[in-house]
Amino acid sequence: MRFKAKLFDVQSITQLQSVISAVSRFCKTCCLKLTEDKIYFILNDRLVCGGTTIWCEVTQSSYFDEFRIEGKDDTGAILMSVSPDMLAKSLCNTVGASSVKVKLAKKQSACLSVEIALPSPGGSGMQRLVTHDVPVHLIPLSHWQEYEEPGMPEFDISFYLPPLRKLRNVLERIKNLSNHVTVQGSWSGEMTLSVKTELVTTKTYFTDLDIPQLDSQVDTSRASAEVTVDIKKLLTFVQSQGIGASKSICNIVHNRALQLFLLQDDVQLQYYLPSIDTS
Amino acid sequence: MILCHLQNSRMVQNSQHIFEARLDNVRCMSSVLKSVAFKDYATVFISNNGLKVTVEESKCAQVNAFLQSDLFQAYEFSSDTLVFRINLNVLMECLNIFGGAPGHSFVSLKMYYPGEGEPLGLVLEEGGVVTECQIKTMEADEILDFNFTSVGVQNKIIMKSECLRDAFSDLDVSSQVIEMLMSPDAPYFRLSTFGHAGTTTNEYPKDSDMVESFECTKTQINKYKLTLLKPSIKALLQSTKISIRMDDRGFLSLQYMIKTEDGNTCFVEYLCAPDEDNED
Repeated sequence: MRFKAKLFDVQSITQLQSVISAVSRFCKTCCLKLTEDKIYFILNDRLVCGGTTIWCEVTQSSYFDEFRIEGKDDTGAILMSVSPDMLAKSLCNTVGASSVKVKLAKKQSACLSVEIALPSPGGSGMQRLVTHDVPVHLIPLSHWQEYEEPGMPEFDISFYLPPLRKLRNVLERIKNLSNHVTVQGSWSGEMTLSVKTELVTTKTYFTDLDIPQLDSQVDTSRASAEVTVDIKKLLTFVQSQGIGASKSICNIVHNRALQLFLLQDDVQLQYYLPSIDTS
Repeated sequence: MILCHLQNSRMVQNSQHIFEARLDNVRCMSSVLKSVAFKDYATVFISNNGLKVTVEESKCAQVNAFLQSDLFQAYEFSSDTLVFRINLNVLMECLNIFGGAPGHSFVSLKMYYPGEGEPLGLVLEEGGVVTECQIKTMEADEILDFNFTSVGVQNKIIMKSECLRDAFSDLDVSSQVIEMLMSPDAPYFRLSTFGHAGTTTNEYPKDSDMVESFECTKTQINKYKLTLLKPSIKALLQSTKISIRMDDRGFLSLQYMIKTEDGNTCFVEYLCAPDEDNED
């Protein structure tokens, strides 16, 4: 198993860092899957731990200038579990870096070794080399089936979310009022966020939302659907706007789950949030 | 245009509310309420003159925020004075639901109260997004009457807030009390604290640029519990002018003048009983 990659462009370094730090807000450890075209960050929470699923895929070629991988089996993939927070922090101090190398290495244990070439502060033309070794656990082939792409649920309603900054303001306020929020959506492009507690009820109406182009198989018999989810988890998703997504889609499976997508040219983040039964 | 939007919003079922008010910029209200929001619950009085929001601390101090009716773009009230108790934190979160930071686009507000026992209704709008809130109201407890009248006032100073702001932010927190001296003779106005590390005093001469009016008739030295005075700092930070008054019983009244974003003036009044323990 071998993996070696290089980035030279400062902008793609910071962008990659923001994607990883967005992932790090969702979970302490996740699975990093490396393939020839794409890298994936995968979280597959068990139902007892909340049952959230994250699937973040990044097109390798738009970030890395060199990318060499030799996997174990014929798919050519490598799966490992890693702390996204540590990985994000290792890429934090890359201001002015001329190159970043990432490779899978075996030191005391298996680790992702991140080598950052920084210019020397004196301007003497010398280079400083900063190395971060982020420990990883390689995931054996027999466990790979746990990290397959989640299937598309049969959602009842689908729409584009309003600007995430607006959504974030509202969610940040109502999280102080309650732990759960009910998201209601309709095919006419309306979304309602409501909170109900003993002290207060609030309802926020977003209108004129766009509806994504759909396959003809999608069942549109239900005019509206609603689901109750954890506000803090929804807020984490909304806060990951930092990756500069151009569009975000929300799918509602009535009383079952909320499926959210952040879409950008070369990054896609998929978040599956099961409903909470408050009754 | 904003008002039209609110009228068209699906919330307006009937206009038979005892109280209904509209405000184009909700920050005018939330910034004033912020200065009294140091306790969970507040008592709200609604009358023809406007709203009064009262918060009490340990039955010894009381803060009143006045939102007079001309602060609102529309104000309708058809009843005798109404009183209810409300969770102030919840009210503040609702008012700031579109983000409370300045520099945002204006958030307009419609507020209504259908009658006793009913929840207080808020409708907020920002850029086409509408939020409706219903906040539970409770029966009000009795409010302290400090019986602080202008007849009993012995000493009164009106000054700019900035100079007191520094004094209050540097107060020695290890001190139990703050001592206030007001006098027609030198040192005119003095604030002292007595902490572990020593005694600090701030003196303000009556001819200072900061002092706008000085009407003291009698030398009075009174002590006030620092913990009771602490909540008033929130109002001090927002205000431009402050009026300090002391009556013959030693009760303290601090009136803060707060300029809202749209140029209106609001008042927050703080009343505190003197600390008697140290006098025996």
